[in-house]
Amino acid sequence: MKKYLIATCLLGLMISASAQDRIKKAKGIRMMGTFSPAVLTSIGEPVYYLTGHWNYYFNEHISLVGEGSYFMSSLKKPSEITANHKLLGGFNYHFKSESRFDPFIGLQMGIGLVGGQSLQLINVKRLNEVVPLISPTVGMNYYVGSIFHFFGHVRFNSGTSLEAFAEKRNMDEWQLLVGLGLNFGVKKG
Amino acid sequence: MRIIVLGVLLWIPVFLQGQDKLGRVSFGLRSTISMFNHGENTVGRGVGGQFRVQLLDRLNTEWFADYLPGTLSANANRRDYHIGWSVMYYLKDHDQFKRSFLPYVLAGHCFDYTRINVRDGGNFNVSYQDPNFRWTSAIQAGLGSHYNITQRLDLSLSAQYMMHFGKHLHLEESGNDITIYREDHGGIEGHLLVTLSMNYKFGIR
Repeated sequence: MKKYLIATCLLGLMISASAQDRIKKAKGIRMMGTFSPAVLTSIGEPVYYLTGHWNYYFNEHISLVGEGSYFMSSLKKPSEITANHKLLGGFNYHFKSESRFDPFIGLQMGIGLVGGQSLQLINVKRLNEVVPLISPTVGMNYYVGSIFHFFGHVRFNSGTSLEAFAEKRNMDEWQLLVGLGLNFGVKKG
Repeated sequence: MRIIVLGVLLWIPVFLQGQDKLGRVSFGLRSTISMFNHGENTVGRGVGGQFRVQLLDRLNTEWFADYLPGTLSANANRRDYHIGWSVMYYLKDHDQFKRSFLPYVLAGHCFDYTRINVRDGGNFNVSYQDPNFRWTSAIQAGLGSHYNITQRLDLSLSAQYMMHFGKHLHLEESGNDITIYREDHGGIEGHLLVTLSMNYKFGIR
């Protein structure tokens, strides 16, 4: 127990010490790719995506965001969802300046490509539909140095499918993005 | 006519020359909710993009494109595509966009393409008396406000009433029979658009 406490304190001290170093993100880019899990809130269906994401920092507080998620599969078998790909863009507001810790909030908008199938009617063809999305995000990046960063983002993707399923369906979902990303143009101060 | 257009175009650089560079051009993405669609009890939610060009301290212009799908009935949907522009007049001095809330009135014009789709997979007899799409022109006016998160980044919320001038596209359902037709006379139909957008300004010193 004592060992764990000491290790935790040492880790805290290291993080605290490293947090004092400056990391300049203005005009820098961060990129990442990850498998991201999500849950569709209306039907409680877990799904996962292959997601790519980038930020361009206009300055220390504002960044432009682009994100694409490729629908891999639903974890529910059988599922009516055959596709739920997403393309999003928007802006993030970053609270801290020149800090390794980079908490932010953001708002993205974009489109989803939703495909559905009927599990009952075998003669009904699969449909693909373009669905407008709005997606508020909250998250934190931790810049290890000028090359790598860890990230943890939670986003709520909100959209409604009108035609891909037998009836209108709410496609709202919570999506989690966690992993290690790359930086370009980020400098130690 | 050409002389007037040329004259206006020539005056734009003169206006810009006399202006502070603040917020001259911005771009953003927008999400729009369309309500009270032409008397039908439908709500559509769309997505789009826009850019703004500020011509005077209190006068901004917004150029937008939206994609708005919505339900017409249990068996049919409509899709609207808007492309247009609005003039925004700031009710207060923008104070270099340091002011958190900056209200404005806006009015403008847009072109609209509407298409009605009958849901696949049902046992319907669909008859098209007219094509299931139409082009119209529209005018819109309303109120809005920026919330300036920083001088460069703003969140904007606006509500506008849009009136379309053209021949209405209708869907009539009777049992399993669906008929799509266009009225043979022109008219005005309207809807309320509530738009949330996030925008980044260029040209700030």
